Amino acid sequence: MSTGDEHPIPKVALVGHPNVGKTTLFNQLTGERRKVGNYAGVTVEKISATIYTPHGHQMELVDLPGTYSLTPSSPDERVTRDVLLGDLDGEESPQLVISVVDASSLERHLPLTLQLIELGLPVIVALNQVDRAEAKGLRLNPQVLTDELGVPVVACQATSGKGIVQLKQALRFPLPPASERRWKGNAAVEHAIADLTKQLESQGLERPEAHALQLLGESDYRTQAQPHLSRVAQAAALDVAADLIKQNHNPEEEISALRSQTIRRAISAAAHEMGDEGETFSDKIDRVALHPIGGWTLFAAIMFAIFWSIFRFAEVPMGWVEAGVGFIKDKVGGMLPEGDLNSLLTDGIIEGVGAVVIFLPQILLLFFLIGLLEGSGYMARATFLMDRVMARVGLSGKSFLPLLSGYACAIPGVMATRSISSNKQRLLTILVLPWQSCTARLPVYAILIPLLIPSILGQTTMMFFIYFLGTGTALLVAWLLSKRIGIGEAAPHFLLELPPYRLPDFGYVFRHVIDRGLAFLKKAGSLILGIVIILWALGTYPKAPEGESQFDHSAMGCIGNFLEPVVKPLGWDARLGTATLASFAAREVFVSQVAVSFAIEEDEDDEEAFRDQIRSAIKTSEKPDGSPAYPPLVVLSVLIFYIYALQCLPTTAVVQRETKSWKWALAQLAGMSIFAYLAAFIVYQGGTFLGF
Amino acid sequence: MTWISQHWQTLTALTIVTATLVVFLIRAIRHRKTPGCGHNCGCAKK
Ligand SMILES: Nc1nc2c(ncn2[C@@H]2O[C@H](COP(=O)(O)OP(=O)(O)O)[C@@H](O)[C@H]2O)c(=O)[nH]1
Repeated sequence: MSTGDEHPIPKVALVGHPNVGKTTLFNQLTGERRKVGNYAGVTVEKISATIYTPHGHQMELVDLPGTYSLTPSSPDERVTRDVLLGDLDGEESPQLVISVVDASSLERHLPLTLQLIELGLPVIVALNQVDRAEAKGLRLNPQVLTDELGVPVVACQATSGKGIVQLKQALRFPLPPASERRWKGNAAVEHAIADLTKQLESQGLERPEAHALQLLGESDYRTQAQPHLSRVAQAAALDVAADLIKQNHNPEEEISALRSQTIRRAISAAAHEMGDEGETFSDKIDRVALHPIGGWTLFAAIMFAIFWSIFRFAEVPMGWVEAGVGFIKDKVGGMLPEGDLNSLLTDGIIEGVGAVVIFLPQILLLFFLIGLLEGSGYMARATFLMDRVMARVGLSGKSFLPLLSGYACAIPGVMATRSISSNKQRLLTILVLPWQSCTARLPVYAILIPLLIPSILGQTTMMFFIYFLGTGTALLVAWLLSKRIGIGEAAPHFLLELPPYRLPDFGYVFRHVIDRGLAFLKKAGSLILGIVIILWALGTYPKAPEGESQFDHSAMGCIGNFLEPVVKPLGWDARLGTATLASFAAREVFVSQVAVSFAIEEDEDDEEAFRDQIRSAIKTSEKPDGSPAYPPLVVLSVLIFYIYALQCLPTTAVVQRETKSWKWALAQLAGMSIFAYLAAFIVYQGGTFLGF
Repeated sequence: MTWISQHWQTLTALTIVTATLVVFLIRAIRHRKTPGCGHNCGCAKK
């Protein structure tokens, strides 16, 4: 048998029934570059193109004329058979055959595949039109089909390009070996096949067994004159067939029956219909879980439950972390006399790292719940459901969970994008993820929203609107960006690839949670530590003279003053400018910064009273001319800025780690800040123009 | 001597800050060449 090694450019042939999607697949594999020629001596078009495997090997892809079987009924179909058997002059037989079949009617398509396998050529089955099979309620298992047929089976949907990457990967070197014939006949038939094979081999015919099976299985092929087959070979076949018939065997019927049997066995093992007796436990659950209404209801309920438990159950351990941080701060602060080192350790490092570590309970809980969903098999369904929705904006179904995590904290969300296999979709998800309203924004909203709306109902509605605005913008921008950077290869999520439901492996889930937790702490331990040290320095030096505000004198304060003309068009003064600048370290800093600038002492025991004090200070502040310094429009402009700005350097650090690219991390930081600035600008200037 | 005993906290703090800056700079230079999803090689890993 010839293998790829002997030929510099191996030939790969697409074979399948007419209308199975061969042309579509050919175009997907080649990017529509095609060469049209003619087969020698016949007026049949030869369509071919050069393709490259994922690792750069060159191959020639030939689209053979569509045929229902290797028993031809037209000149086109004869070309297909003769090329495959190596009988056409000047046409080498291919080194690999891609058998394209229609997944929604395997009974009709697999006989040809079986014949192709019998040719002794390596075969890859492209299980096309999977979408139609799914729509018909057919459930297929490509892995079982692979085992039954002994050749790789790749599910695909040529019209949408799903599975094309996987198909290309199956083409890689070394080419898969040819599979054995899948059936065995009775003694007489097997003897006849072996006998004829030996005779044809001694005649010097290529692919003797393939020819023998073809000659015995099809009477026309041995009786009628064949332009590309010798009379001697046909004579030998006639003899062997006559012998069989004498023993009361009918070679055509028996071989055809054996093939059908093989196919029925393969199909009953690999496919079943929803609702028939082959329906598994998983299918029964899926009837609800993937139901057009029930599925979405269940999905919404599960997501709500996750969301709710992250906030509800993480509250208690978050309190412990807070208390622990306070305790360490007191201890360390007590060990050193007042001074810069004391301040660096307590106000800088312990407070700063503590402000990030406080999210650890949420992160652990989130990853635990994700682990349960993944381990039980539901995650694959959720991904499948979301795939179509997310694809509209250029994201993958797997982007959904990271985006959901972003409501807790962007950092675990960014880390959770690792499961997205397409690099472009992963990048896109990371880029828009910080627009999901995270918990660190809540303290800022808690100060600002009551300044705008007094009623509780109005405040709740406003909160809802804020979440909606963040997510809506994230999806819209993802859609716009996906047009620019391209979506890349869409990962195929077919129903038939859904794993069965099972009990999660708790050991695995816990290990996963611990790994993620440690990864987060390591980041908090190194990068975030560095960031808080530098921010502390910017807020501490140069030193203010006795009795003056340290912040106004510090490098950060100077930058804030310098920025005043920049933030003026947003309606802000220097105080808001510096507080906002300081909160680029972490948003919650806004609150303490504003408090410091109004000289309000934080009351550890009564948070609400503390917030009330800040709010009344904001409300009563006046400009030198006596007009209010922070009218509602200014508050709204600040709020809009906090909804949109990426004010979280730890997130930028993690994005850099995950994308391994400073370019994207900084582009995201700059892009989101400019976006936030423009949004606040439009709101303030528009509001002023309208007379608010 | 008295100057150092008065300002040792400031000196230590500034040393820590400088060391942090140096580590950041070294990292920024060293990490640049590793591929991640920010640089798509068109060959998605399985
Ligand atoms: N639903 C669906 N339709 C497909 C798929 N692949 C091809 N088709 C459609 O099937 C028809 C025949 O496709 P074509 O490539 O011309 O088939 P060929 O005759 O084998 O070359 C076209 O209308 C395609 O759009 C698929 O995966 N799913």
